[in-house]
Amino acid sequence: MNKVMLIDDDVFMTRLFSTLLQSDGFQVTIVNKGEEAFKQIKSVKPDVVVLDLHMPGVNGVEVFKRIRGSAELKDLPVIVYSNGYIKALIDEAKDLNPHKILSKLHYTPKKLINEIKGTLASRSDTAKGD
Amino acid sequence: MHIKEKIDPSVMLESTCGDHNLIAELIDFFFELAREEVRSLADYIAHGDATSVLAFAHKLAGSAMACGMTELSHHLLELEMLCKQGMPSDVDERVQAIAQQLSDGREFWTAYLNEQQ
Repeated sequence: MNKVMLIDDDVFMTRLFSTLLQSDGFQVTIVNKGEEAFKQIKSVKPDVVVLDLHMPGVNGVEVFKRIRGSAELKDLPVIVYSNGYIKALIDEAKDLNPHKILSKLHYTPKKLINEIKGTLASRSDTAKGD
Repeated sequence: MHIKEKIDPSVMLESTCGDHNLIAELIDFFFELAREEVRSLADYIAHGDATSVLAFAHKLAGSAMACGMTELSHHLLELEMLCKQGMPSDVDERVQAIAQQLSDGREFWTAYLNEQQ
């Protein structure tokens, strides 16, 4: 079963996505605080992370930098799903090799779920090709 | 503008593949959270705490959009942007408009889900 980790301080969004993803057969872990994200990633070892950037305390970019700075996690697919108007955060995230950067305001939940499926499918194809 | 023009149920319908029970559960959860958030808002405003008003608006904007409440989401985003420069002078009117949108949204979704039963 593919493992998806949702990192977002918005409890409604994480509940919405976890409900939808679980009904599609994914194993979902929710993290609502940036402070807990890295520890959870190391423990759960998700196949893909969906990351919000604008969170109080440790923000998404800081989490992302820790992911890319880890030898074990540097290739982990990260889909950034955030409000796109915070340009400084988006610019920083772009430099960290995100799988995709999607705007919460223009990307419906259904489209995000399709992106998650596409990411996992391409990852599985790459693994088969190795 | 009529409530039906401000709210687009197709976002939720598409996300849930038309599962009305799931929509009802998620919409209830959204309004429960919104009620809790709005309760704290008067305190933030009374204390001139623009950062907390900004966080409130930010948190609710994405969720409102996912629930098809586009106009509410735009009101919240505007408030968030303004709060970056400090507390807007017309914050009370803006909060009133947001409260009205929430109330309209609740009315819309209740009627919509009742129609589907």
